[in-house]
Amino acid sequence: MKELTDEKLFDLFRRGDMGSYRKLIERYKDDLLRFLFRLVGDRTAAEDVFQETFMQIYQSCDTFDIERRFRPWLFTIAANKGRDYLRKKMRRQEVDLLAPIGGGDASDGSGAMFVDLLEVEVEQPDAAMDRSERDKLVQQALAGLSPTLKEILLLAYFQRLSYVQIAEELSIPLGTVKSRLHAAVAAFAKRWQAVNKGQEEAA
Amino acid sequence: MSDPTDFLPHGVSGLSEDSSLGLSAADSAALDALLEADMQLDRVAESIRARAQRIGALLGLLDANHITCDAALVDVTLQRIARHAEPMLSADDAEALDAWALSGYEASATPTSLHDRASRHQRLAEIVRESDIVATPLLVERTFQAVASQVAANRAQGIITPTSRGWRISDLISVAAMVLIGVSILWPTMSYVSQKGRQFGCKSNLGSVASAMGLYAGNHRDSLPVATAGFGGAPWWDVSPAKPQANSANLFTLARTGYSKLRDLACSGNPNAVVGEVKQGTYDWPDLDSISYSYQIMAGEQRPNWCGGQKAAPVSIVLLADRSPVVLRAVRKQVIDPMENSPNHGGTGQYALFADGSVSWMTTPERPDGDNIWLPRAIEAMIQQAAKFHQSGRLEGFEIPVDARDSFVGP
Repeated sequence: MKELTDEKLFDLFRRGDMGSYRKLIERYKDDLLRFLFRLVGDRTAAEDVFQETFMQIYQSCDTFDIERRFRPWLFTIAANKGRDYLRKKMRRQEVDLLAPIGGGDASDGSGAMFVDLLEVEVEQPDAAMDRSERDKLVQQALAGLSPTLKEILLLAYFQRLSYVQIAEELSIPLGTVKSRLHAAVAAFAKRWQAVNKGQEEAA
Repeated sequence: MSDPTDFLPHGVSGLSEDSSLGLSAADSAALDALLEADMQLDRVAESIRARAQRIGALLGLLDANHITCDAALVDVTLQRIARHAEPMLSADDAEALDAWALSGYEASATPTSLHDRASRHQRLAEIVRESDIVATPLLVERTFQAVASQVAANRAQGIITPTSRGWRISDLISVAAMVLIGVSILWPTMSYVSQKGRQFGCKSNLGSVASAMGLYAGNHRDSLPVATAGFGGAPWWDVSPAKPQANSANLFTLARTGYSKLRDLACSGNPNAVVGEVKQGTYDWPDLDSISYSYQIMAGEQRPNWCGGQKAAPVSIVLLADRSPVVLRAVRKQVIDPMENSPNHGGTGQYALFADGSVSWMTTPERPDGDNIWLPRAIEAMIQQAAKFHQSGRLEGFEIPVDARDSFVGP
């Protein structure tokens, strides 16, 4: 039997079918949790935001236009919730000990302003390298990014939206999408390079 | 890494040891004397001349003529700046990123010359997306149960499904009953039913706007929709679709940025209401008559915030109501009646959306605390005063709410 689209499932839920809602949660659970984990930086917080996101989806369900796609809407709401969480966290002045200090590139003494991707380690994951170890390194690299940069990077990487779509979802001008995404990729690539280098040196 | 104080040129010694916290008394006295002597060392008292000389030497270092630019110093400084600057993509990587995004994030679909770098972008994205993390069945169950119990609680209150937010079973039954009675009692009742239906339409509209405002506020630090708070020196009822200058442009922001549909901002009781898509490059409704709802005048620093769901907040403020008859008359320079109800529902009353997201029907424009939603407190007071002298209050379109608790809506 052909699977129902997200939008159809959501419509059924709006008409009172709770089973459709469960199907939507099941459909997006891993993807959304990974997205939130990358955004907020720790698993417990990601799970909290995950639940809040689905609650918000219900509370805002009459604003969802059935003509639009469900997935970007879900991720945008999740990004908003994640942003709220990060804002609150910053207000509490928690310090993430994993976060690199002073921009995260202290180990890189070159002070180069430009990132050249050809110099960044992006090869297929080494079989010997533990997946969870790699997870940690990614988190460490992301932790050095401002919430704004992290958000746009993850929206592009996870949702693969066009610049126009990102502009609509974030309500920012097209030019800002471009410059912000460039800055985000550069910042991530540079920090990824730094944490990898640190890893190699430690090995 | 060298400390910034290393940049200080050496060779000035002899200043008191405690000068790290400021000049010593003796150094201060010597500096004062030197300044008083117009920097002429020979005019400084001999007893402190030696100290004044050292201070003069130090001051001399600040004179650019005496300092030659050290190339190493320039390098170190530039490096420091570079270290603090945000990294940037090389021009090739930036081009590859744009091409990769443009091709639907498929490196293989990018031009050959950019292929290598686009593949690296793709690989970087995969690194971020790849993860061992999976949602546990417990998380799925907890999430589902949280929503299910909320749905159940809402249903217990009569809110049937989220699509009919704010509609209660009793509302539907009363409309259904009215329709049935109307069939036998002919036109006058039918007209009453259509009036009632229109009312429910507005109630539902305001409920949708409340959700949209909640979402907007969530993305804008609890702020309510705003496009202009200055009104460009014109009255806030000067509606122009070309630029955000009227108060309605603030409300229009919801439609312009996709949080609301124009049809949610249109009352069927307004024959000139517009529905459909927002035209590119428009910031407001076409004209005053096409606007169905009046929005809290969003002027100055005293703008209220969204307090959806927070019962303790100053919820008595009205954010949005059926359109103000007072503004319609004031614009046409007609005599206003502050107690007149909105024309949207044939003058029977108006729906109002409050800052906590609730919607109620008001049979008069006056709140229980005496605040008239069509007027700022200042004019309300003037009218009360004027009543004694048989004069009438005037609305010019420049008035603003007295404070964040003064309900005052327009156009």
